[in-house]
Amino acid sequence: MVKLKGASSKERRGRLLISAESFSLNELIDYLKENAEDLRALSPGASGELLLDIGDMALDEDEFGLLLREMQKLGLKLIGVKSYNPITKIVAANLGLKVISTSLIGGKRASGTPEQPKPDSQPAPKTVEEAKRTQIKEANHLTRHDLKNPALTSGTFPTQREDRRGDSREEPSPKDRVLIITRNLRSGARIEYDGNIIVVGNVNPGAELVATGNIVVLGTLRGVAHAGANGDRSAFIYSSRFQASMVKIAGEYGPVPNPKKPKNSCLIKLEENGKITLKSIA
Amino acid sequence: MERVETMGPERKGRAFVVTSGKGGVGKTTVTANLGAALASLGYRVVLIDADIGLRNLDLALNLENRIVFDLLDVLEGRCRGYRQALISDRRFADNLKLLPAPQTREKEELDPEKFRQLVQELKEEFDFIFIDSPAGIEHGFKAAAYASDVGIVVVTPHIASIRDADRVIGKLEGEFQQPKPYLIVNMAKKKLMQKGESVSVEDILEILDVPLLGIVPYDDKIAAATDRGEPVVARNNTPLAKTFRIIAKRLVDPNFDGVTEDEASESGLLGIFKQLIKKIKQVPVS
Ligand SMILES: Nc1ncnc2c1ncn2[C@@H]1O[C@H](COP(=O)(O)OP(=O)(O)OP(=O)(O)O)[C@@H](O)[C@H]1O
Ligand SMILES: [Mg+2]
Repeated sequence: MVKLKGASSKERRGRLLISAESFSLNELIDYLKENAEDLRALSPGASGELLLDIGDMALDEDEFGLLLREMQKLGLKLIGVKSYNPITKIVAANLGLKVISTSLIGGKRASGTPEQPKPDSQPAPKTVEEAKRTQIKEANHLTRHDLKNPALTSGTFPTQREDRRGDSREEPSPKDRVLIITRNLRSGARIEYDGNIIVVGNVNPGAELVATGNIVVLGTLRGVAHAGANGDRSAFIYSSRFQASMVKIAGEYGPVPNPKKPKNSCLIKLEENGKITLKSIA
Repeated sequence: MERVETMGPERKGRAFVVTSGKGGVGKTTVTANLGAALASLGYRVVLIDADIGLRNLDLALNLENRIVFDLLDVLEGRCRGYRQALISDRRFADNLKLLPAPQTREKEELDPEKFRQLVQELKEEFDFIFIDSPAGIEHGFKAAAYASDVGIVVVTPHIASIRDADRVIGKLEGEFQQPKPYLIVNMAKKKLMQKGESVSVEDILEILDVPLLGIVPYDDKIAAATDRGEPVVARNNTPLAKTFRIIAKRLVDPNFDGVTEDEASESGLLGIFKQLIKKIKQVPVS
């Protein structure tokens, strides 16, 4: 196992995540140059693909361009960034990069604000205006670690548990994160979240929810919900009143028999045979 | 005139944006008739046609041939203040004024800040300001929404209209930080609703989750009146005139509990309407 100097690496859902919060852009590029070979070796299938945690570093389009070009020269491929800088997040999202919004409560903020800052969990906003407008409240992780997840408990990477003892900058894993939305989602609204979503309100026709985890709607679900969007086939959807004409789990979709008739306390799952089932669990 | 005083002590007017997302659902019809009904109740009302390039409101009121200056002339300083551009409707004791839209300009030419400022000024002189918004959710709608205090969303019992209304409501509440808009269900076909062949008012309310201001039935007489340039409200004792007058009273008097003939005639629906009225009453009107 290679020891990387100056930055720490960990696995995030089978992907390589490099923590480089305290770096400037130049330092980051230097670091990547020095460690390129090791990073490639560590990346899944030696593909060179990695995620960068860049804290609150503000990167504009040109700077991102520079970073991407330098990485390409080194045989590395940036697939996403973890950041709580709103500008960086918007630029990254516009460049088609995966954006992981950092959850700050419970973790320690790299830039050293000791008190709990505002939760920041917007699903990669497309424009600065949108970023300002999106009113999403994030409730935080319910449990901070998931010991059933072997990636976190074995191997050479620090487990979340160990991580917490030290200077923890680890956010809860997506599995443990919950985005709570307390309003009706009307036509045209689209919420994407790397974690679980709970809506206290209705999801109307023309609205869309996409979560890598589970989706719970405490209200009527008439819009489209997509749970397990990154391929988690164990993800479920629950709705206290279900009246949608389609749902998706892990990319599989199930048209729903009779959307005219609402189903109460409805649990929707993806069965092993690939079929989506609806069950009233009242 | 049975003028009910429900305005606050400062007696400032309220600005409503009449909007829908979808086109052709009756925004202009509702604007003209609600305005005329309030004017005939003795309120000072100004109707602003914000549908620049596609003006219609002057036609619905048969005031087209009296247009000298328009909204953009006022905003761009080509006439002496807004008074010079207002056209007075004599049928409604000059209580009803129209500020027409230009026919040959583009929607994008409406400056949202200036427009909002004008509406603020109009509040000093009028009790009610109705802004007839263009269809869609683009610039024209946004400028109209930005200038107003609250929306009146017009919807018809069709899936596409409901979907668009929902989108617009989301924008009014979110982007424009307005309270829940009022809803008018237009072109309601009661018989079809009863037979389950049309989306019911109940279904619409369940999805849109906003207070209902009233239901206007589908009636060929409305289209005919539009073409004549005469709001249906002008024919005093017709059921349609009464419908709009009742809806108008709901806007001024939270204790008013009249129901339109249409709303009351069907025993099966009466319960629903009563409930709706209750909901309207719960919404503060100022
Ligand atoms: N309740 C009704 N019953 C029958 N016809 C109606 C009714 N309401 C409106 N109409 C007719 O439908 C047509 C469209 O109405 P109107 O112009 O008011 O819609 P609009 O929403 O303002 O349209 P646009 O989006 O083009 O501005 C007109 O001819 C009008 O007379
Ligand atoms: Mg119109």
